[in-house]
Amino acid sequence: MGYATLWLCAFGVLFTGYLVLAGIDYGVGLVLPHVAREDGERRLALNAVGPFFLGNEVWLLVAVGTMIGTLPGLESRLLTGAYPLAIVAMVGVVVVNVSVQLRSRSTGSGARSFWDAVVFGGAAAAAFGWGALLAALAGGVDLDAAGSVTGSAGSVTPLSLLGGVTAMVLFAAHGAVFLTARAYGAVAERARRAVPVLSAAAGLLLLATLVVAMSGGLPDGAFRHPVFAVVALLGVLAVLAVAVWCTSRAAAWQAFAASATAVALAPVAVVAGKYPALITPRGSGLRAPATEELAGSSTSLALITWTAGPVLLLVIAVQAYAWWIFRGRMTSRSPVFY
Amino acid sequence: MGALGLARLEFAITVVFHYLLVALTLGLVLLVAITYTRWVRTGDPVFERMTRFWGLLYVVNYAVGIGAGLAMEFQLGMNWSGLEDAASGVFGAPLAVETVVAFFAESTFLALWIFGRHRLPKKTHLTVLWLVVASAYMSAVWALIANGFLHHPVGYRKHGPVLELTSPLALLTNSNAWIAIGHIVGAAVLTGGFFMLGVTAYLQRRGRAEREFLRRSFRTGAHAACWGAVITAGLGALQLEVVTKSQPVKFAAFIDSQEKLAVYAAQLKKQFGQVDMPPATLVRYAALTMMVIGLIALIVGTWSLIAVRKDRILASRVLTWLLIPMMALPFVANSAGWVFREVGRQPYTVYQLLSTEEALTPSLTVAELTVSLAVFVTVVAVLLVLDWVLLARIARRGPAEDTGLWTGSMAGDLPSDPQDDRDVAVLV
Repeated sequence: MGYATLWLCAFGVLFTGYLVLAGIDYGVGLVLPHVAREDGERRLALNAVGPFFLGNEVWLLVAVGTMIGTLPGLESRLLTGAYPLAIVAMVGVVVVNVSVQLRSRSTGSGARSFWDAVVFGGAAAAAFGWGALLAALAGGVDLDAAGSVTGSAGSVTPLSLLGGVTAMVLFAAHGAVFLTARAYGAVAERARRAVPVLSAAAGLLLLATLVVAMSGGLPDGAFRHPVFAVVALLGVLAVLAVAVWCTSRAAAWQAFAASATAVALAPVAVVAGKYPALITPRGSGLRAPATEELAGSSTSLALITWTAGPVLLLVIAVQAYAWWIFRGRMTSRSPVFY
Repeated sequence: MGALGLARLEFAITVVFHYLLVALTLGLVLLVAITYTRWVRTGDPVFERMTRFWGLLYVVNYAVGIGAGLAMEFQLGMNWSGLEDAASGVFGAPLAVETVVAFFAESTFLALWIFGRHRLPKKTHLTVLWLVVASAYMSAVWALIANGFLHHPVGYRKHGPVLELTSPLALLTNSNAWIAIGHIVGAAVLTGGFFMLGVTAYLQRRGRAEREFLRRSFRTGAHAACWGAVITAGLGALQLEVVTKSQPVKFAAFIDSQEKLAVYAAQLKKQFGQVDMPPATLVRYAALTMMVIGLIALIVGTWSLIAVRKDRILASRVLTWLLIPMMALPFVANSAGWVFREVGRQPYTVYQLLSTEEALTPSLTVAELTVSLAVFVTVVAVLLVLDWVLLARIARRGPAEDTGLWTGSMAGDLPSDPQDDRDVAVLV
């Protein structure tokens, strides 16, 4: 396996990891107004994510940063081809990061409620942006014959908007499942009751997205293996059902594993359907750029692989260790910062 | 203003604002780690109070810095795809390594430090903080190796329109990068030092902190400010030597030599047709501003270091009065230094290999760029103002009040739990 393929896989893992982990952050932000009604409850919900929050968010920087070095052609085509959606996602991510960090630095209750609204808005924008970007990528990018991006106007379609809304609800279900596992008292109880509702809504929206995609929402030739994509999306529905079932049986971490799988399968559906190309042209008769054309030169890929590779694995191990030491349900004495 | 001007303005504002946050983060994290180490070694409670106070200021500043950093990374892919297409085969590598070695590690360890106070053994917890420091400084190193290539391309080969890396060793030992790394690390320590001195002076005037806290903070701040200034000024002088050789035009703009600038303009016209020259006046005054502030920092830093002997600084009204406005000057110098270095490189993105115009994403329209300029500049400007408002508020409260770092275990911030007795034993 060449370095280019290796890093394409690594990017897939890193970006999927980002969606699964930061999906918790955005999901908790989205259900925050509903499951946590007063300041103490809000702090409980935010600090349930607390020890993982910075680590979750940084997967995005790592996915995008390694992509700049290893698959620059992919990064520039992805971001410029879906410019407006990328901006929404980016602003959402920045807003969530800052508002979660800062809300409890204010002592007034009014200021904190304001920040909570900002957390919700940022989470909504981030979730919507990534869902829409993924759906737009499924449709393809406006490319010319040389494989360069010609514009971003084609990225805002009914399909991409629907994909954005679907991602919001899916992340919200994921966040509710997480709170069921780690929060306690009224917050955990409200989250537990929200799980079946949100999961059902996410399932219906996914089906709607699938219907729109199959009834002309996707240009011809966007998917080489539509069957793979359909199977993966049906897989999302199946694991969502498992998440609901586990939640009703009070098996909270099993439910979390199921909702995490549901989030992870969404990008897998797009990539598997388009394999081996990832960026396809929207117009017909044009050629999709091959992986090697999107990749950096082999010496620089070797440099990245041997310097960043070991550290990457080590830091992932440290994050796993952090999950292990903070795996328990919170108590009223748990450390709080957010 | 055309698409190029908009994109340049957008990137310049994002980078400078981001860098203001980064400089303070780099400086403070080192001082916090030193203070925390002293607490672990001596057990003196003043060092714990200091760690909580300065540590919170550092964490808040870091959190806002992440936001601005994200804005910068996205912009590189969205607006500068010409640079990525042509040169990311070389300079993308250090950037990629930076995100993993620095950001990934830094955020992961910082979260462990914030939340792990009562879950990790004391020495492990201290090691975690030093790993945060190491990864923060690694980010400066790798970012400047990437930046150094833009100024002084080495270890590459031209393959059609694309640059390819041929020698990782040459890239990693680029003299332009290493001299800048030393200069900027010095400037960050200086910024952190003057920040600590200024806030401490304020706390003293308002009577918001006890004597021992003030005494220790003045000492740590004075050492950082003085030695930071010495390193910055020394390496700055050496750097000027490097610039004279490798970027003669930047030096010509600095010494205001009209004839050299004219020669350069003719040369550029032959290569690219019509291009803009670097604005010589801006480059010149940016350089002068930086140097004058560097000199002031050297004087005030030395004065502070002398004054902390036998704690005379606690009684020196003139110096403590001076130290409060002095906090702002390193930020001005950092920005001016950035303008001198980066604007002085124009009209190239990769020196003498890729013009800034070629680096721009070709498909971008003026309308798209106007929207993204408005969005990005609003985001980073709000972030910067927010950061300073919050830092000022936390600083004003002083160390006596509960800072919010490492609290909660007993603070009653969370709703009561019906099963409260469950795992008290887990907490060390």
